[in-house]
Amino acid sequence: MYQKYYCKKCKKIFHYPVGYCYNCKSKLVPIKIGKYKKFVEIQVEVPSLFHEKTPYKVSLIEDRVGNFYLEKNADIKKEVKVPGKKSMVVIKKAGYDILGTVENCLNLLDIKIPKTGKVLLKPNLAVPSAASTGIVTNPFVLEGVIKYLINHKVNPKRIIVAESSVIGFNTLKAAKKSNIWDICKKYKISFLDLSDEKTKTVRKRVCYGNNRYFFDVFKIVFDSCLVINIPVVKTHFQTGISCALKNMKGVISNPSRKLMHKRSLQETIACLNSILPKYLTVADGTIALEGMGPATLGKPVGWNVVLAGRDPVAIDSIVCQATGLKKPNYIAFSHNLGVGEDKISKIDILGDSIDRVSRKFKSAEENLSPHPDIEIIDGFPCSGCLNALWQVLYKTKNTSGKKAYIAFGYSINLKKKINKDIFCLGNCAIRKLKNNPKTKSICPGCPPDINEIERFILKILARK
Amino acid sequence: MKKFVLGIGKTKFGVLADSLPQLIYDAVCEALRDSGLKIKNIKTVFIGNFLGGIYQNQLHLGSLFYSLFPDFEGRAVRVEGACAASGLAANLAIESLHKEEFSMAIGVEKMNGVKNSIFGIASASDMIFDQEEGIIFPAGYALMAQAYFKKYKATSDDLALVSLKNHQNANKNQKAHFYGKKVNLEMIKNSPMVSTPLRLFDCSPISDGAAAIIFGRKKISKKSIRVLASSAKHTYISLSQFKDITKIDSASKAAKQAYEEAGIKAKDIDLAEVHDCFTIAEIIASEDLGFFRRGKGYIALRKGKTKINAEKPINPSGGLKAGGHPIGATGAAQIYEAVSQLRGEAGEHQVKNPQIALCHNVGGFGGTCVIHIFSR
Repeated sequence: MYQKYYCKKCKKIFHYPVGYCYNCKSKLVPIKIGKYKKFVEIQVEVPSLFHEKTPYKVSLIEDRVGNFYLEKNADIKKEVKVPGKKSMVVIKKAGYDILGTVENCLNLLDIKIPKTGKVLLKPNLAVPSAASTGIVTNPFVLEGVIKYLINHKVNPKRIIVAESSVIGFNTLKAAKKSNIWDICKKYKISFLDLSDEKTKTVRKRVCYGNNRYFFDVFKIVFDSCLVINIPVVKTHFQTGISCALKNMKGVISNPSRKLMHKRSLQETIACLNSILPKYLTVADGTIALEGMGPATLGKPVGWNVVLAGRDPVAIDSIVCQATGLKKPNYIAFSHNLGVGEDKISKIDILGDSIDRVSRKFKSAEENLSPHPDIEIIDGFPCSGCLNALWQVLYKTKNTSGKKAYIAFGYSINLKKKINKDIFCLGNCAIRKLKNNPKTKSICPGCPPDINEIERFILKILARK
Repeated sequence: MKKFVLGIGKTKFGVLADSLPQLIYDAVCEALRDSGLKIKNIKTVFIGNFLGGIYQNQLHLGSLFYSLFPDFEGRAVRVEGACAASGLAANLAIESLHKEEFSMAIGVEKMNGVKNSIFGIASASDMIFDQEEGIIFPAGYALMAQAYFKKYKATSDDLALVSLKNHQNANKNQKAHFYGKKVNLEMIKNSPMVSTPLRLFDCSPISDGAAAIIFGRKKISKKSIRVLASSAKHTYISLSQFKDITKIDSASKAAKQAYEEAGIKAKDIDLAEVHDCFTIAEIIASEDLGFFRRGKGYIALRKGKTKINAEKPINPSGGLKAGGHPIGATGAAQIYEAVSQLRGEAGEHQVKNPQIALCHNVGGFGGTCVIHIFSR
């Protein structure tokens, strides 16, 4: 239920978190909801744009003092549930008050914050974008976490916001464009650009079945007494979704990230999470991303939800259930490695029900070239090449030309015999196919500049 | 200062092929013909429209109006107040008579031929508190109906009576959406459920249409109808912000002010066009307007007191329920009906010799309410 506010002096009720009373300028205080009951309930049989799944119920809930609250698929008993031993996830509709919602979520989790040591906050700053695009973490969610920590007597000097953008993109630029930089300045919190080559790493090894992986994890992750992962809920055209588990890919060095793409991305995400210290997740679904995520080709969705919990596997499973997106394999792999619980029935859900927040997201098309005249030889590239190429292919999809194959990524496997010319994009593909007689021209870089890629594509299409 | 309705015009309501400019044009031309005035005489125009921006991607209606009538020399302003858009436009047009000799209120909406029409309509409620919680308008009014049933022991059979009465009236109104459509109780009670307890026949249709009203300071013909009162009030946008969802405060406040302005009481009203976007809304409106005591509206309905030529005729045009509800045009269309009735020009659905008529136009769940009272 959404919070209502009260002016103690004027005795007025405010329905929006406007902060102060227009009459006497006094600070508004949240109204304690106390006991409440369902006043009336209806069942809606017709679908609408935000509520495609029908029938659904809507309840008008009345509190002790006669205030009303509307709630879809309300589960009154849920609020009094006592947290058990199972994985626990808090789901909350954010409403107009994102800061308050984040704080409520964290309060429900009852976190014990160590009195000393660093607190590391890891948002998602994939590419330089505004928060309204759904590509990066909403700064209000980050601010909510910071405010919670400060209210719990954590000195701002102990808090560090750290991130490393997609290879080829500038993390500081992303922090500035998303306004996360401003939040850090406002609270005098240091921002750490992990993509800086000087950042110290620790090598960690892990096995999954017969496969052995290693990751160079930034040392700061192990040096911190508390790590809070603040991903944004997104679709991802390589992994299906990007949320809690996937976001931690940002705490390893660029060479390790490239290796993840060269090997199995699904397995490596699970393995990476198995070697990291236990972390807390506050998933930002206020402005999520659907369609061709995780970057600029995706479409922002005002989902207005915040999820929090200690179990990233449980959070990702709930996100899949609520958004109707297919569960990626890495969720099950992570469960197998003991990272967390992937079965919804075994997760304790506090706050709002999944039904209340459920909304169908458009999934990302998997590895399908958006350009009719260009076929892709997928060598599982990292996000740098992938995002750049996809952007260019969408931009040029109405420019027809001679058919061509573009190879990118390191794990290129030419199973079928290709009689046409192959064009290589990025250093990985060039290295792999340098001796292939079909290789015609190359576009070097790691990743290549997006303008260079566009020129390269147009040149390929225009060839005789 | 006395104020009069000098001319009225209205297109047929329903699923129409006409474009938004065509609808405006036809309604305005009819109103000009009716008044005998020229477009040059009118210096202020208020255009009530709700969904033009969302459905047609057509805003800047003031300039569009000029493009339709290049002889127009005044100002034209778009007014938005959800379903009360043209009620508000009329309210502003009447107020503007303090400065101008003539003014015009237009209501227009083009709703058909659009995918996901529910989506646009829902924008009249709070985005977070209502829309995100699944409160589309049938759902909101269904909650009001459930609360009313709980408080006063009314039933869904009473809602069916509203629907039946209004369909019977619309059946005789050539400009109504469901003109000529014969409806019986069985059809109403067996229609598909939209949102418990509201069935399809409890909901107003998605209509296209326009209406135009010309106001002036002086009576220019025998057909001129006096404006006794015009009042607009607001209440909360979301049902979750109401204290009691079985009444609409803005309606009672606006009615109180209008009765005072007109110097009359609720019992003096001979006919009323009320905002029955859903059947429950008509019952609640009949109580908000003071026609019947709280909790007695449905009993009066059962006794047939709101039928045409009964004690208190409500919605002789068929109302929004059967007459049609092109959202932005509804308020102006109600005035068109009230004026036609007072002139004795309503035809088959004419109420016997009415002297005073009231129009009650509501936006959203009552967030905006405009009341007009007219007399011969």
